[in-house]
Amino acid sequence: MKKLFSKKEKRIVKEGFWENNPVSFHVLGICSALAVTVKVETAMVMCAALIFVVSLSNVIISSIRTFIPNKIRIIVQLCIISTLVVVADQVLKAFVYDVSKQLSIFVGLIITNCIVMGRAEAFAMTNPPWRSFLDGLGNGLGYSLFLISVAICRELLGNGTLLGFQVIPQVFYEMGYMNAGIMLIAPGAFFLLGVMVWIQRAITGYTEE
Amino acid sequence: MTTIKDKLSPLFEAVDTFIRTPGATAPSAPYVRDHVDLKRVMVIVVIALFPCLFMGIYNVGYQVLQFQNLPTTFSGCMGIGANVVLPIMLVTYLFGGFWEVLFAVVRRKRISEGFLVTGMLFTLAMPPAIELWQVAVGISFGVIFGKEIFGGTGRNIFNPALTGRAFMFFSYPIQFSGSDSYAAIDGFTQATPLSILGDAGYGGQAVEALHQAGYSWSQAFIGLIPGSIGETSTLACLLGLFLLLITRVASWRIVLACFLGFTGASLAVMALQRPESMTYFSLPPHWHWVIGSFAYGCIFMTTDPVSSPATNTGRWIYGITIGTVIVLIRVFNPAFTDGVLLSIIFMNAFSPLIDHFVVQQHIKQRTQRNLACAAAK
Amino acid sequence: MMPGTFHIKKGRDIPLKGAAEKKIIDLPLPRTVAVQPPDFKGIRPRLCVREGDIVEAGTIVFRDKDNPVLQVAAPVAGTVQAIQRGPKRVLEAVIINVAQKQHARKGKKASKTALDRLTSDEVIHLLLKTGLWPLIRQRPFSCVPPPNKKPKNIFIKAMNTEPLAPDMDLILDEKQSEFYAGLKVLAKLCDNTLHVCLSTASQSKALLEAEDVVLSKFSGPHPAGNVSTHIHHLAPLGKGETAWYVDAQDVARIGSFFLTGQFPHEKVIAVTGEQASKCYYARTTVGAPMKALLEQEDALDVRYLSGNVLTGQDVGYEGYVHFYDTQVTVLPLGGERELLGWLRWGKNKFTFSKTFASAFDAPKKVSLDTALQGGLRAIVQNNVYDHLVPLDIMVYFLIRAILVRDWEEAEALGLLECDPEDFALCSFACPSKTDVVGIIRQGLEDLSREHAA
Repeated sequence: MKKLFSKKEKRIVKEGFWENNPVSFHVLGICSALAVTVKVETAMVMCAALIFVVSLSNVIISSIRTFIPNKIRIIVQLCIISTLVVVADQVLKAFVYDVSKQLSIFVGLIITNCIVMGRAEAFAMTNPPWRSFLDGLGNGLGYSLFLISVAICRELLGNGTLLGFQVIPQVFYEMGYMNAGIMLIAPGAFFLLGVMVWIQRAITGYTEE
Repeated sequence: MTTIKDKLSPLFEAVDTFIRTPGATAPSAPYVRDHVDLKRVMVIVVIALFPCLFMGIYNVGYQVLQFQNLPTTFSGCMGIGANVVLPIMLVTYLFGGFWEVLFAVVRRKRISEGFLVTGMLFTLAMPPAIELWQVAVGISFGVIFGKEIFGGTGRNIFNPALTGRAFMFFSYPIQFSGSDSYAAIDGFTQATPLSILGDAGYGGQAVEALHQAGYSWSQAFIGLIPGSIGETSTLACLLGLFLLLITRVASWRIVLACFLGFTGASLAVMALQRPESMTYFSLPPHWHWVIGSFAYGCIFMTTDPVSSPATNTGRWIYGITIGTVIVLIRVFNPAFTDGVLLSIIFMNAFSPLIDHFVVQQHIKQRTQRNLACAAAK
Repeated sequence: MMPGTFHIKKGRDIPLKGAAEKKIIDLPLPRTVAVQPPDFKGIRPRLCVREGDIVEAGTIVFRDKDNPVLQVAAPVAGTVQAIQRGPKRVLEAVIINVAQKQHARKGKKASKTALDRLTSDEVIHLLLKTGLWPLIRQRPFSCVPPPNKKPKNIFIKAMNTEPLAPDMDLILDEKQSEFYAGLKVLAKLCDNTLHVCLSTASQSKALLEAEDVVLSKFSGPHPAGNVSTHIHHLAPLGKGETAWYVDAQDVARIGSFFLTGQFPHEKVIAVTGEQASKCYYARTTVGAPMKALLEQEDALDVRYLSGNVLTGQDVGYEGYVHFYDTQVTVLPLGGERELLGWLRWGKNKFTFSKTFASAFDAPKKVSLDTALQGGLRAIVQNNVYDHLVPLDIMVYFLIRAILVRDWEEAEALGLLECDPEDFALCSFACPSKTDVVGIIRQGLEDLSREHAA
């Protein structure tokens, strides 16, 4: 058990989550970050699906990394990832049908999400399976950090609700408060994401050269 | 150890140099300097906005009293108007100023006077029924995303006042559409000229529709029509333009180009009209000039030196395009009643590109001239 | 030769009070003179004298480390009193205690025909040997030129348009033969005919009757008299080409050397400015101390500039006139703080813009002090710069290119055509108090380093 969660392993997860965050550092996976964050519920399901796909695909690709011929490695990776995505899609359709309707094509588009392919190439192909799993987990959690943060802001400011529950009391509305319509459309998400990336980079102190 | 005074030094410097001229002498050649400084330029713009401010205050009161069928006395109008406008102005300067000071202190840069103008422009662009908390949100957005993230004064691409207003327009559209812009004040509802035209449908005469709703051209010119606070009075804007042109603070090229593009486009649209086209098509240019925020936008917003092109040729292109796009958005797009805001922000994004091409052209001319000279030797 | 006439439209004059009375007064030799190495761009100084050494007029004081033929001489005989160094041991000045009795050097007198027989190499050799070579400067970079590369053209600056600048006619009219000798000598250094640039208002016989030169007349506001303006209008430089330029008074001094064999230490310097107790033309030595030119005591609220207000340097009461300067200006220091100054009507506030009431009055002579008139702000583009630079340069974009160190763009926009002095009016008029001159100077320095690399 000690070997499973030694310092190095913990660092892999932490880095994928914070310093090497796929959204703020690599700026990957933005389109889904804008599209599915109107409600927190949808965002959470999307995050779960992505964590599932990226960690498992990392493990599988890492396990067979020495056998994959270099010339066809992209295709092999794609096959593995698509299989997992299809599985995830079917599971969602079976157990949370309403949410899966809202996610519509974006679950399928996890295949094109640069995070998955990116981690497969950058990490899974050159690292052992357990570490690759942790890396996928860390990145997935990092992605979730931003998605859920953005979704909370959007649903709260654009709808006054959180996870469907009315959070902003009716009294405010009667006093003249209004929901910010801009939060429900993509530009609002863009601004929120920008601010959050700005804050995160200010904390980590990262500057681009 | 840096004391609070050191940390807040931009704020102290700003207040200190506001009260008295700084005593610094030229550190290097040239050892004599022109008396003009950025404060002077900005204060001239603010003074140029005073006619719009006073007319706006009067008009807000006028609209409310008229709707309530009460006598429209001067003091009555000014009183009601000031009651609406001055809190908005206060909130704007307070919140926007807070962000300016915060960023200046954190970045250890001087506070620039540009915000004096931005605050006034933003206030005058607000509809009277806006809530004060919305004003705070709007100006904060405008200052942060319109200016500070780019690095502060002189580095922004977009006009900060317009950025704030655009944000509010998309966030709280109800306040900004014609009929409800006065809603919160005693249940006033009356359609603005723009919304009347937008709803006018097809196959009619636009001027007739406006007359039927009770609007005359002179009324619109003086500014006694509903609309955002400072935008209604074309006359007041022209007074401001006069001051800006005498002092050469605004670029006459941009104003003239915008005016020409706008007039040309509306004439073109009129020419294209057929019996089954939208009523809006038939609106003649002199009406277009006085409704909506054309005068205000053309005179004060397009001439912002930071977001407009830095080359003379570029200014012509910029102005003409803005004028044309305003007409297109007004007439052809039912979703946006007034295209001024959007058109200017749109062209703001192109200013650097326009400048780039003009500079490249200049470089090409220079290189060719140098080659010709070398060959002629 | 038929003079071409050019009317310069861009630029503005600053009508300052304190012009010099048109009389040249001979001053006695000053007690000390200074040779100041920072004056000479392109020369990295290696000292040739030490404190206490006795020098003659023409003794070499220092020479360039990389190219030892470039050397600078002491103007008069005396003893080296002090060697002043600045931060990082940069050589700032060599102060020479002037000897009471100056004796004539053993030099060859040359007749006019002897001048004709001189070859280009002989001229260069003589100028280098006596330390007079730095009277010639080169464009681009305004540095002392390496003697081996022939320039495309040589320009003689015979007009001044800076505020309170000396009248060239007055100075040249008594040095006509020396001036012609200098022209003849310099003509040998270049294949193309010499360009002499003078003002349309000039009545000087010396200039108007000069032979074997291309006479060009310029009129208009400052910077019509700048060398860059002349080069731009007469013979713009292409890539890799150089031009040399010499001030007309220095041409006369060179001519005087070739005719008499004596080191030409005399120079006429105009004493100007409203705080100068007497404004006149002083005939004195190059490198003279400010004190010797001024008949007044030091005062706290006064600024002493070597040169003119636009391009000069603040040397202080104890300072020395710089090598290339032909005037000194004494100004009020200024810096009084005015309540709400930026809000005032401004009948007495001189401005190029139209933002103060003074701009709508009839033009008149003004009194300006050295106050900055505002704080340093971010650069905001305005149409101010381009009206003040007659060189077909988009100034705002040139500044931008320099600040982001895009040297290709900066060269394409014309950086190599200019000298920082061409942008002095821009610094003067900028509402943001941007140091345009400093930016251009830094840009040229960095670019020359790029070229050398």
